[in-house]
Amino acid sequence: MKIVIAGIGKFGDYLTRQLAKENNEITVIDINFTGKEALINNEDVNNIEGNALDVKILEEAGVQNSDLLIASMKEDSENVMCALLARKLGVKNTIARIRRPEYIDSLNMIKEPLGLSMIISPKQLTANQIAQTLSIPSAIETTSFFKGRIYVISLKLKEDSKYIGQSIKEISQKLNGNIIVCAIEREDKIVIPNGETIIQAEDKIHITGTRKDINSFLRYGNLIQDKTRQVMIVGGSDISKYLANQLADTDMKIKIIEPNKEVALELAETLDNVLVINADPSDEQTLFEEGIQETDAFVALTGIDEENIVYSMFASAQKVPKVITKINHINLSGITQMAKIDAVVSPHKIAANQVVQYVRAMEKGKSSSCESIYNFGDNIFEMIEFKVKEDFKGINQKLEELKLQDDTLIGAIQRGKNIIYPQGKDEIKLNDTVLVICRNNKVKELNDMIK
Amino acid sequence: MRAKITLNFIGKVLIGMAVLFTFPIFTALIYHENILNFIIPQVISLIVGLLLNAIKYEKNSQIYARDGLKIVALSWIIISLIGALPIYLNHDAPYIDALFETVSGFTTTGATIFKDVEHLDKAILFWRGFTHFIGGMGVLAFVMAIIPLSTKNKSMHVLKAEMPGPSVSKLVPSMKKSLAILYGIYIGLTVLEIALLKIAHMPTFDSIVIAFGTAGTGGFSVLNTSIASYTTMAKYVIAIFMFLFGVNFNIYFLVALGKVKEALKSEELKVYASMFIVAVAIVVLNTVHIFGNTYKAFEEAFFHVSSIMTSTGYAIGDINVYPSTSRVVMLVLMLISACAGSTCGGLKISRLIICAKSIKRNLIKQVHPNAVQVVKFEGKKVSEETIENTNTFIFLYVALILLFILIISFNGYNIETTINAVFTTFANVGLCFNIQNFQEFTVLSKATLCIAMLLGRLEIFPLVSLISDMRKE
Repeated sequence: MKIVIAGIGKFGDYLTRQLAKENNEITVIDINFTGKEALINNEDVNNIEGNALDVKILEEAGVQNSDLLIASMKEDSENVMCALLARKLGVKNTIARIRRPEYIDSLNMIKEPLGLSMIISPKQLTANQIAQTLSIPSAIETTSFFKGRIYVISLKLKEDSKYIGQSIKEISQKLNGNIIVCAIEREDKIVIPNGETIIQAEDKIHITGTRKDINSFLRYGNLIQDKTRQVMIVGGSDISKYLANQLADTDMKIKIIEPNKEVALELAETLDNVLVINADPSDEQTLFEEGIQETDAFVALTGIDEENIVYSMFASAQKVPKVITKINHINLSGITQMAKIDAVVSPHKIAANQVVQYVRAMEKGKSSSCESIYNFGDNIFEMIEFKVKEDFKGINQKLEELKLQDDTLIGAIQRGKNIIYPQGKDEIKLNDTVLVICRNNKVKELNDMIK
Repeated sequence: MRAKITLNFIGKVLIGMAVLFTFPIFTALIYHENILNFIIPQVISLIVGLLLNAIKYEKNSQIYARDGLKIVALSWIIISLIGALPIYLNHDAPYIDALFETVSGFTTTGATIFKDVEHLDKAILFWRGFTHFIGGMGVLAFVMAIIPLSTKNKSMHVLKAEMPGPSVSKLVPSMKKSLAILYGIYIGLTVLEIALLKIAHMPTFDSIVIAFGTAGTGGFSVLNTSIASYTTMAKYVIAIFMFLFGVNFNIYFLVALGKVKEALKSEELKVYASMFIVAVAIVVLNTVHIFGNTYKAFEEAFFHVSSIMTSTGYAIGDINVYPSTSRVVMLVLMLISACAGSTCGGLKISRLIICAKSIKRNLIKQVHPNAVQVVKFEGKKVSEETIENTNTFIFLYVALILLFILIISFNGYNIETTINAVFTTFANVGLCFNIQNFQEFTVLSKATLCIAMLLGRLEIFPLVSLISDMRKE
């Protein structure tokens, strides 16, 4: 697939690396590549220095013969214009990154006449993910597949948990097979378990199931936590706005602490049902006064990664049950692990995954189309949702007869309205949707998972 | 350890090398010559290559700039050492001479230590020509084009370290495809030349070896008289192809895409062509009285200017008859050489243009201290980093020449010959006034000239960084 990426910021950089891994032919455009040499030297991409709003530069980058243009420059309006120009030059698909919340609704309205294939808003996607995580408080991370019908949650098992010392088979029997443990993160390693694998203390496990089944898993393991009622957000960024809007329909009480008076005023103006506090969160008295010890969830959303990490460490020390940290610099993920911050969200990563998923879905003529994708375990593993088409080789074969690749597992199958937790005797049928857990980039289409 | 990924990469290069040894083995089989001379080095490089390739490097290790330089420098040294074995095993020359010949081959210099090449085995003659062909485009480029590599190994650092020119860019986003296109152009032109030489009544074997020598801008021939005894048409074919191989290959890519107008706009191409025309004109005017007629003088001047400017080093007559002016013109051309992105050695015209423009800018700044000026090349802004690199390169180039001249002077040749010997090896030309071959040089001089040739071909930085790295350890 020929892809042109205009504007190499943090998002563009991460996206380029992800797409380059999948053997796409990528040309990147930026005004200035100083400080971005690492990308050009280490990845198999071509670079063109110049303004991506200049038709000559776009032509030089070969936009006219490309399959996709992704505009990820600083300004939203630049991105829209770049996408328009590229469309005029003959690119097949365009994606524009949009940051400002107020533009998104307007753009969605004129998306079609502009010929935009997709509008991507990292901040909105991040807010979605945080909202999802808050809805199942026991989980560190929560993602949904099959259009929200099943969830994948990850949770860390403490020493007193009931499940420790039990094998996957035993756990499965207790729950009538209505749950799948699809991956275990254990001391920097990721294990795809089989029936004999035994759960150990400090394991981070990823489980798949419907909302109901996950709840019974949690209830049975005494892992259930009280519903999130009070949420404390530090930093009044755009993500905070999105998040507050998303949580408006729930019965959660939201508090936003923002040190800048003008920003705080604007937040109070635009958001109803939210308590905006204009105070300095770096003063621990402020946090105590606003009740950090009573809050159910703490979300650090300031613009500075380091501040977010420190606030989250403080919140964890105050025994806040659920702490979520936003990190922009993906390279800091090692530090967050050391600081024992479990739930980290990274807007660029979330948005880039959306684009990667879109690119994979664009590749036609394959046995299956990728519907949704989620990376976990430091990007070493991923979960992909596929729709089964005619040319999948394993149709109507028993799963135990299919020889799957190493480290590959089927997490769930959706057939019509039913969710199947696959066992050896189950089969994959035409038009099913399946969730595959595998090593990153190993399975690009459904046939790849068979040896 | 980062050394692991370096060694692993060199292993891949050696496997590639083992594959290449198959060609001279075929030649030896055709002419019923000793194939053991090639099988031994082939087996050695295959075994060592496989062993090195089996080294596992850590998953998250990457090739950084210094690794790229190291990989290129070490690979070239190792393939030269192994490539010298066939000549040595065939008892044609002592090892140091064989090494000189091979380095001269890989670096596309074409300076020889053989007084009489006609008595050599056909397979050895083929191998000499073939080293030009491999070295012309680059050994690592070849390996990266054919061997499947993981994303980590597709490092631009390696390509940058091997490809000549001030800035290296890919033709298309995929490195493998870019290299395949370059090799396609390279092989296509070579095949065309072989066909034309056949039409010009050259024997098949000669035309293949000479086409290899032209393509890599090397200069090894199969006859003691170089090109002199072939037909006039063959001479013109070779002269024109030498000129063509001195053009930046990106231009052929543009032509292939149908962008002829854009291709002809190239600043470097224009300067290259004008320098060539002016040089031929000067030499013709300067030598017409020696040859007696303009036609003969033109033929000689056209061929030799083309040969020297593109750092090839074929000859069709005695170059020692040229008067001083012509010699000086040729010495200058030797140092400058042709376009970046071609198979030529030397300084490269694009560097000269960038340097001249930056000098002009600095002169304007002397008069207008507040003037803001941007150096442009091929219609694009040249980054300050590239300018600085170019100027550093030119300084190092001159400094190293002086150093080599001092070392070679111990041989006791006159000053013109000494200077010329250094120029011809350092710029990978191979043609030298007053001396036919390099056999009489001392061992120290031969070793020095080997280093000079490698430094010239790899454009100084890889070897220098390797040496500075070794000092630290």
